[in-house]
Amino acid sequence: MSSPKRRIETDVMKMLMSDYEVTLVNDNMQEFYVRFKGPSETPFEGGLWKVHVELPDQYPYKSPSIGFVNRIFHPNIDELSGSVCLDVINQTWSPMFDMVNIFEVFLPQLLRYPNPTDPLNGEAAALLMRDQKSYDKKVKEYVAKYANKEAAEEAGEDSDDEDEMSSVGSFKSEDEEPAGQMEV
Amino acid sequence: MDGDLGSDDDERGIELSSIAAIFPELVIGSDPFTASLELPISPSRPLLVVFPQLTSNAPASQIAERLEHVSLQEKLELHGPPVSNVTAMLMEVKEISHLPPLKIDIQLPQDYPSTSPPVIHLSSELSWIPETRLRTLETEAKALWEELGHNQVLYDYIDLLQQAADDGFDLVPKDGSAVTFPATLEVALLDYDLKMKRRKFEESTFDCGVCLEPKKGTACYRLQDCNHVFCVECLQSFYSNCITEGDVYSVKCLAPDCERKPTLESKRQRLTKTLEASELIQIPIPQEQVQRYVMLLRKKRLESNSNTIYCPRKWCQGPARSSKPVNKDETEDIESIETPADESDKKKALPLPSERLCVCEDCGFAFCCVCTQGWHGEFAPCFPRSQYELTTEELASEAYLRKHSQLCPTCRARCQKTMGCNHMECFQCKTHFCYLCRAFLDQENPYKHFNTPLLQCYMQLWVMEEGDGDPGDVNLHPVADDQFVQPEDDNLPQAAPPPPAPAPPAPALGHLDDVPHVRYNRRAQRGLARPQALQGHAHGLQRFLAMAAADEEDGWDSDELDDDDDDDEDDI
Repeated sequence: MSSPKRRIETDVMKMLMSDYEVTLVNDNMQEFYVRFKGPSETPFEGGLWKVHVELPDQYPYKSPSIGFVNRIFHPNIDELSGSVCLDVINQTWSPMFDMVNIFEVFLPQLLRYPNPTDPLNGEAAALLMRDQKSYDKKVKEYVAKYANKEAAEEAGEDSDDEDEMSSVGSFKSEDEEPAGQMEV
Repeated sequence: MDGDLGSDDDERGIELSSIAAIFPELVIGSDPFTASLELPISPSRPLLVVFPQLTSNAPASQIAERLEHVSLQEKLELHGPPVSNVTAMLMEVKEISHLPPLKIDIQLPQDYPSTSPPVIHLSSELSWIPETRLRTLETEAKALWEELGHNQVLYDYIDLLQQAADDGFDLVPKDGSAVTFPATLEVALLDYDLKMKRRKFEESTFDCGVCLEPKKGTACYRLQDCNHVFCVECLQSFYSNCITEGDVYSVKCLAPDCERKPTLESKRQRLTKTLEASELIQIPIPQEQVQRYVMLLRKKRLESNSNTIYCPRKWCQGPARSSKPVNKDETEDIESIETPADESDKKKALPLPSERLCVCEDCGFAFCCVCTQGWHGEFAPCFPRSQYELTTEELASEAYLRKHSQLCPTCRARCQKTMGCNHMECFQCKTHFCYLCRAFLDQENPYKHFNTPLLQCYMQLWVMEEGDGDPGDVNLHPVADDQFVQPEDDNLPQAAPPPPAPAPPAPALGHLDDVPHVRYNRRAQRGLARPQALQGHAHGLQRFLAMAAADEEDGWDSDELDDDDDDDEDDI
């Protein structure tokens, strides 16, 4: 089982060498953050996201888990958790793919060609299908608000659990409201 | 080496030592001026070979005749539809890229090269090269020696042989068709070819695309269909992972863009095919994993097949297939599932009586796929049960629920009183209600309901104090029947019952036990096992709609329904 570990190192080294800003968590090659820039000529252009990457022990036989830390408005990315719905990093993952593929090809493609028919963010999908212009506008709003350099950095400063706590809290309040209404 | 060659100044010695430098495989014989060399034969283009098998029912002359006339094209077609029965049966064109070596025995006479040519003897392992051809090649040594003006000729001669070998010794007919070898050689030649290929593979180095490390061929495996090479360790880890997690459809070539030559150009067909179990064993993948793989594949195939019927025995539930669709589906691939439209059409029509027999693959139980009873033969009538119909068991528990439980007026959660008074608080939504009539109770003063003389529950607070569970117990509380819609109604797409409005927290409507209801009596007479506990109704129109919806699925007579509906209207 030595080769998977070596492969993890190789992949992270490749990321570093292709000019990605990579922040390791716990000096462990298996968990890190990558700064990801929105692809040009898309409403995501100019955005900077911090993407959390976790490589399972069985990487590359198993696909990595990828999540956006700061918010993004995209039909196939969950707004709160940041998890990405993309076939090539889930069902059709091949062990011959690597991290550079993901950041150089898969994620830019996903942002460029969203798939509103299989949404994780229903609102974004509905908006994209109904009104492309407002979708673009809203994406840009999000980029300006959440995906600037400071926001990306800040998302890094905020410890993870804090982030999770707040999102859990918002879930709760949302859930309780309709329940309360029903009781009335 | 030079020492072995005796006198160094001898021209022959010098020549042999220089040949030995070029061909390290050269073996110098006991006599210093004899040598032998084995020339590996790997023709530049793989030889197409046929091994005609002489069978008793096809005369040899006929085959020979055919062989002469079969051109390459025709032979290639043999892979497709057979051209003719005889040739298709007897000839399979094999591609051979490595053949047993040509052995060259060289003897240099005393007066070589000035006056005598070298004495050459050629032979081939398994003597697959025709004798006549070898003799011609032998004589060419002399010709070449003459041509070079009685000079040292060995290198040029070996080179000539090499070239002849590259061309396959001109064994291939001019029209490019296959070479015919005696059938006795088939196994040996193919075996040699395979062994050489394997050795070549093992000697080379591959960069595994997964672990990105260069690996010796011995640690690698070449996938049979697509020829992609990966290291065994990576293949094992990946496939084991897939099989353990049940993702058997990923057990295919690791290359993402690998399309293993799709046999049929159909859109429905998957481009990539999962590996055969036999290949997994070769990699090698542990046997228990391969077994699990085969088991899971079979299961998935059965599950994805709409014709699969599961064994009605509860302890078995193994897959079974009815006789007719089996034949059809086994020839088809898993992927070629019919379009949804076809399926829905199929579901509507019941299979013919002759096609209703199913045999469970696990327990061998033979049953009818329509009525799921033990097989009753083709001519016994069977009564197809609709999947919405309830079993006796389900009916009994439904009847019990009606009789011995109450619904929360808000959330319709069922509860059963085990003991105590009739003031209930819903465990789920905390609504306070009366266990007898389902009326909402005022949270502040719930007992008012039982203390108001005009209401029907007056003085009934402690009725059924011992609980509502005794099977022999008489039904003491009315159940508003519109609240008990059959559970499976929700799954029905065609039935759209009106949304049940919560019963208003009004004073209970009172027992309707005394109002005889035509419909239920009639049903009871017809033995439809509708529990008699269903009595009384609250809201005429809603109830009517709900019942109409329910009746539709149960397949009751619509005429009768109409009558009843009229009655309902009259009641209001």
